[in-house]
Amino acid sequence: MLKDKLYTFFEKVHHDLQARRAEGLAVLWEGIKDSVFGGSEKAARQAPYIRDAIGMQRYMGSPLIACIPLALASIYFYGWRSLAIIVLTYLVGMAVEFTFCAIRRHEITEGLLVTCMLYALSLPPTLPLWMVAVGIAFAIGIKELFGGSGYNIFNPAISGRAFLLLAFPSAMTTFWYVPFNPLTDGLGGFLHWSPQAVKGVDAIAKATPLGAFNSPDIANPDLLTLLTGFGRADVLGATSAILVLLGGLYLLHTRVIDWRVSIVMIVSAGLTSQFLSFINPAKFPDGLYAVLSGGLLFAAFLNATDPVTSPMTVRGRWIFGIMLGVLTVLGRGLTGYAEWVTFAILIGNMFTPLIDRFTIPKSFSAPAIQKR
Amino acid sequence: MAVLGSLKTFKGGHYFGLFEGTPRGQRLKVAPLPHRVIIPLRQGFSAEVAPIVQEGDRVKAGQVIGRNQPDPKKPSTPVHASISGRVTKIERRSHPLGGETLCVIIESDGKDEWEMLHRPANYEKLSPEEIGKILYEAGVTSGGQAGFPTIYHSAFATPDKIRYLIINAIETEPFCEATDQLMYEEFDKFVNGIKILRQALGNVQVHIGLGYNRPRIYEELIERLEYYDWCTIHQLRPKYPQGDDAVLIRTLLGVLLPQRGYATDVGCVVQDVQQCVAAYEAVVEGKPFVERVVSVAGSAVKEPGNYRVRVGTPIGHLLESNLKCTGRIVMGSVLHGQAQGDLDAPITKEIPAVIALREAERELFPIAGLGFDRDSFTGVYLSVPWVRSKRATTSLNGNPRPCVRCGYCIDVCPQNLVPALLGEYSANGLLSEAQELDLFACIECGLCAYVCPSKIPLLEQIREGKRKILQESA
Repeated sequence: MLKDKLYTFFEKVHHDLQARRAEGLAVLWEGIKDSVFGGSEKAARQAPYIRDAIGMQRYMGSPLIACIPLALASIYFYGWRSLAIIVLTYLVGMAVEFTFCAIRRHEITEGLLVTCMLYALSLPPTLPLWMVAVGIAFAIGIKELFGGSGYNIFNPAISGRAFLLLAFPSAMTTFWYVPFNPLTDGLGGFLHWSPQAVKGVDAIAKATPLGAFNSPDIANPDLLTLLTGFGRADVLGATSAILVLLGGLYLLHTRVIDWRVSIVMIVSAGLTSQFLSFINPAKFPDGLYAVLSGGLLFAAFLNATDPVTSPMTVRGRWIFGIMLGVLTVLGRGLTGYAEWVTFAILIGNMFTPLIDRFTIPKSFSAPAIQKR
Repeated sequence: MAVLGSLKTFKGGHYFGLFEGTPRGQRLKVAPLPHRVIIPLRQGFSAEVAPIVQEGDRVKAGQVIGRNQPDPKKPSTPVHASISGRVTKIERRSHPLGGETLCVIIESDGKDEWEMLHRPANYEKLSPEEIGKILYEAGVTSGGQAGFPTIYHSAFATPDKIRYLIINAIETEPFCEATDQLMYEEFDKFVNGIKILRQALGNVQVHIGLGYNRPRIYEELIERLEYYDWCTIHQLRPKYPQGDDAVLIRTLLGVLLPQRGYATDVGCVVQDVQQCVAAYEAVVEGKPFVERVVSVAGSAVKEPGNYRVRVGTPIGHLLESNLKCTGRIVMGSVLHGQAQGDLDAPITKEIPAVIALREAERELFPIAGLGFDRDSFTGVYLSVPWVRSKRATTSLNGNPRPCVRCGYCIDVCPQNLVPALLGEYSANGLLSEAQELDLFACIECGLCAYVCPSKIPLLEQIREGKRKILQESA
């Protein structure tokens, strides 16, 4: 049988690596073996003797599935440069992670694949490639310094993006491409490197929807533009709100994300913005515009729901979701950054251990009886 | 008039798919008589009794082979021979539910002669004490893993405190189908057994918890019991672990069980279908409890089935020539039971199923599959309803990873605990922290470890933590 032969081969090489004291390489080799066999060959040693079919591969694979349409759309909207950003992110991210794993001798975890995808999809299409590399190196590095997947306190993808926002504010916030529009451009980005390569200066967009709202002389895009992403200049993954919603619904269906974080965050942001728009319509858009513009939907479904850095209790998730929604809207209206969802998530991450601590549910049991 | 409860359920839990090798709907068959039985003199958590036979003695099925003086501090019942034959050996062996105990080994003579109990003329006129005595003499013990002798489990020591008799007629453990089948086939005995048990408890209120996927039984129960005002029939969602004492009492009565407590602490006695039938057979037919129903099931079993099995039958007798491959043999429950390597381990009164699972198989890129035949708490697999038998191997289905705090264990926990933290604290010796999070409220259903995508052995960690705390306090 092929798989048995393959398994013996993996075992033998692993054994040889260990015999030569190449522990770091052995860890990487083990990682490759685990990704091929997916843990199917490992047996439960204690009860329960049957286990749920979900493993970390499938668990972390689900956000990737949700991101595939977004990644394809980003190639269409912004040309093959988008793919270059994604591929570069994966290469650098893996290099950093593997280095850490080999040195620290801990297993390679599947979270890396999600982190890289989410990071790449949250970047502007115009970002110089070297900045992309710096950002993901920072993101993975900081995660590994805290102990790797499961021990990091900040969402890695978001911390990488936040680093870029602070280090290269103008590259991150001022240049945007007008995406290819399926109604006029045919195969669009599938035939070109970037919008700029075809249209030249015309491809530079005036502003993202949030930027348009903040500057009085640029017209706000209408709802249809926001939903479809046709003609909406934004980050790679968040251009088309419909695709983000589709991915989000898929993740909700799989239970990989919890509606108490994602939906609650979206609704609370919408309600807060709607309410504040009555008070100061110049600073705060109406609820629907607030929800559909910027990276709110994308972040609510994919970043905020990162299990490691969001609370695990039910009540904690409610608090976290509401907090993130409110913080995002307040930050957008009251600070110098147009999009604040990044910082809202980072602040939420900081509160996560505290929220978890104070929202432990009460067990369904009466106190022990003192017997005789 | 019987009160009809509404459709009830509890927070958390999981609906298992139908695993391959589940003998659902298979009629009860009488297992061939074993050549040899091994009868442990300790049942469940009860005290070990002294043997009253010697090596070489001839015994009949139903004859008492070991007994203690009744003692409320050390509850026990007489232990009976389950086949007729000769006592060949009395020796210490490991008990299938853990620990060591004295066992009587009987070699069959193939005649199957019986020694019955004294049969009273009219059981409906018996006093609670008289019924309690018969149940005690017949060795009718609770079917749950606790296995307390009925005379004490039903708290005859404090009969005034018992207010409810709860009948657990819902089986939600994967692979355990035999007790459900018993309910269908011995419906009369079941219903009359309920009446007898109620009589033994001094006419308390009876609550029957029945799965709502058993509409026929429900209608028949209503037909038989609707004129009694002491009876409430509840339809429950068939969600694991609805059959657990703590969960069942909470669902039916809304009463919380104390930590480290038993049903009797809140005035309840919980009995399952097998107990009701055994009580009827003891009181009306004079038959001691030496035969129970057992599902022989699992993915490594050629022909899964439901059997009437004599207590003490070695599991090898049920499984030999019925195994497809060498599998992992588990007694009782695949979720919280114990794997058994010894084919000589005997069936005891507490064991509703013997399950043989295929060992983990190597698969190339299992992540790529659509998973029609996989059972999962999440929706990441297309567990379509028309693929009826879900794969059941001992595979972890994933690589062990650090906890990502996905919260599935919190979602499924029927006791509203945080298993991830309990496991982490227990494994790292933070025992007082674990106790603050109500470690002892855990009913050890095993669901948290089942759903964990990081494959953390939460059940094992929690049990270890409990063990350490009990050791320290002792």
